[in-house]
Formats: sequence, C-alpha cells, structure tokens
Amino acid sequence: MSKFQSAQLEDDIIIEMILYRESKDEGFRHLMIKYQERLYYHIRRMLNSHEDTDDVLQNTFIKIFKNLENFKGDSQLYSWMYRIATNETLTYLRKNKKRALQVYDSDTLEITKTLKADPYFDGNEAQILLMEAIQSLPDRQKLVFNMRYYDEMSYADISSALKTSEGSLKASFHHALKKIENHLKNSQ
Amino acid sequence: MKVKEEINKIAPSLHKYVKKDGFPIPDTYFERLQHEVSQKLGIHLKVEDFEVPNHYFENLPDIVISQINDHNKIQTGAKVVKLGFLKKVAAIAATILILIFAGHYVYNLTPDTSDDISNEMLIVLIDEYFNDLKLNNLMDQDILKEDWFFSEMETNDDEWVTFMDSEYFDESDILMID
Repeated sequence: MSKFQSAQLEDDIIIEMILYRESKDEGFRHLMIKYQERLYYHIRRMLNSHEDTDDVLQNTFIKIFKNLENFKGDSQLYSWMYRIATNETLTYLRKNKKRALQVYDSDTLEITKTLKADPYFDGNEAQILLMEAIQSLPDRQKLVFNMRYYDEMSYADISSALKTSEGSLKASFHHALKKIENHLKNSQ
Repeated sequence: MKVKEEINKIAPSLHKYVKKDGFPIPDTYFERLQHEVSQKLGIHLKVEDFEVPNHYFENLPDIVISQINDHNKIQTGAKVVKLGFLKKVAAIAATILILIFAGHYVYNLTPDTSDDISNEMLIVLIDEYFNDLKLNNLMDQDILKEDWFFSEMETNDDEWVTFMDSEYFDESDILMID
C-alpha cells in the first residue's frame, strides 16, 4: 500500500488494524505515514531544531503505540495524538530549559543568527521575522498560535487536544496575534 | 470566526504574510524515522518495495494538469478541411471506382464451379437427381422400402425379379445401380 493510500485510510480502520494482533504492525505503519508530517511540524514549530524534533517525534510515536489500546475514541485520533505530541514537547522543553534558553534566548539577534545557521531552515527574511515574533511568545500562546495559524485547527479540536476551554484558547490566540502584530510593525 | 478573518482583524501585518514553513524536512527522514521507531518498539514495519523520487507526489498533479492542457490545445488547434464542389465530385468518383475495383476483385476471388463441370457430368448429375426423386417417390408410397432395397436385393433374387417386372421399375434404374 502506497503513502497516498495510507493517507486515505480512515482512522477507524487504522485503529482496528492496530487492535488485531495479526495486523498491529501494519496498522501502526499506516498511522505513522498518515500523521508523521503533521506531528513533525507541530513539534518542530515549538522546538525549531530538527534534531530535537526527531527525538521528541520518536518518543511521541512510541507512546502512541504503547497507549493505543487505551484510546477510547471519545475524541478524534489526531487530537489524541496531538495531545501526546504536545505533552512530549513541553516535557522536553522543561527538561532542556537551560539549553533552550541558550539557543533561543530573548535576544532576537541570537534567534536570527541561529535560524540562519540552521541547515534545515530555508526561510527568507520575512519568515525569520515571523519566527522571532513566535519565539517571543510564552509556550502556551505559541502552541495555540501554531495550531490555529499553521494547522488551521478549530477551537473545538484544539480544546480536545490541549484539554483547555475554548474561551481560554480564544483569549490566548488573541494575545498571541496582538504580540506578533506589534513585533512585525516595530520591525518594519 | 474563520482563521483568516480573525487574523485580518487583529493582526493585519501578519495577514499579508505568505504562510509557509521555513523548515524543510531532510530527504528520507521519514523512512529513517519509521525504521528507528520500529527498532525501539521491537516490531517490524514493512518498507515500501518501490522507491519514489523525492517530491514526486507533490509535483504529479501539476504535471498531469499541464499534460491535459497541452492535449486540449492540440485538439482545439485541429482544423476541419472543407471540400469544394469539384473536390466533392472527385471524391465521390474515386469512391465509386474503388468500390467497382473492389467488387471485381472479390468476384474473381470466389471460385466459379459452374465452368469446371463438363456437359457429360452435368447430364449424369441431372440423371442422378431424377432417379433419386423417383426412388424417393417409391419409398414414400411404401412400394419400395429403403431397407429392403439395399439389404435384400442381393440375397433375394425372386423378389428382385418381381420388382423388375413391376410397373414401378424403369430400365434406367438398372443403369443407376450399376
């Protein structure tokens, strides 16, 4: 089965495949192919570094595999996986706070230098400016902004993934937009 | 409220940005990821048998659409040639000539057996036909039984003679049988 076919498979079928011992591995492969890119970017936008993202993404998929039997289906599969990826990312950020601060401290000049030196970053000046603005946000606002702006997720889906009320998410997104707008205006 | 409307209202500067991730994913990264995750989990994830070139599926829709457009251009560019009156007459005449030659050719291909039969042969065939007709009439009237005729004529001489003396017998039959 091709990547395209994996992407077309319904979540219900993938879960059923995983729950049967005979098709568990094959089902998990389809799940990885279908969601690996979305989860990769979700983590990468928080961590920026490809190497860090790789570590967290591997742990995320291992957790997903080990806990799939506990997935009750009361939320969407991808919301549930986003929650695991988000928790893994935040745990990683907490554990590596010192290193993260060294790499991306509040000095925007440092962020710009780091991004330009990153072989896995090919953004232009405008994108670097936006990255600086996003990096200046607190983790929670950064998360909500990325999920709403880049993934275009509904507040209901974000709420399901982050286990936060929609009202609180709207407020976080509003604050994040205000800060980013100020950053972009001041830099012009 | 939709995301775009929300952004346009609160952050018009951001609204002007072209949304793009500045993070390219290293080639074959996801293949390696699947391999590493499966190793850590101790499971076997089948790898695709065929390798697809990088960005093949991203570019495929554009390639197909451009080919469809090219094909449509060729089709719309084709002209219908209109024939003048003289050309129409010439075309009809040519068609008739072709049909005549073709008909003649087919006619010659069919074996004409009538020429191969000599006059003597024709006479024999006609005789046979009428003799058969006569015998069949005899059989229809139960005067002559087919079984009897072929099985008994050699063994039962008396009956054969009786038959030859009968009014149903014709000398030509003897010729036929011989």
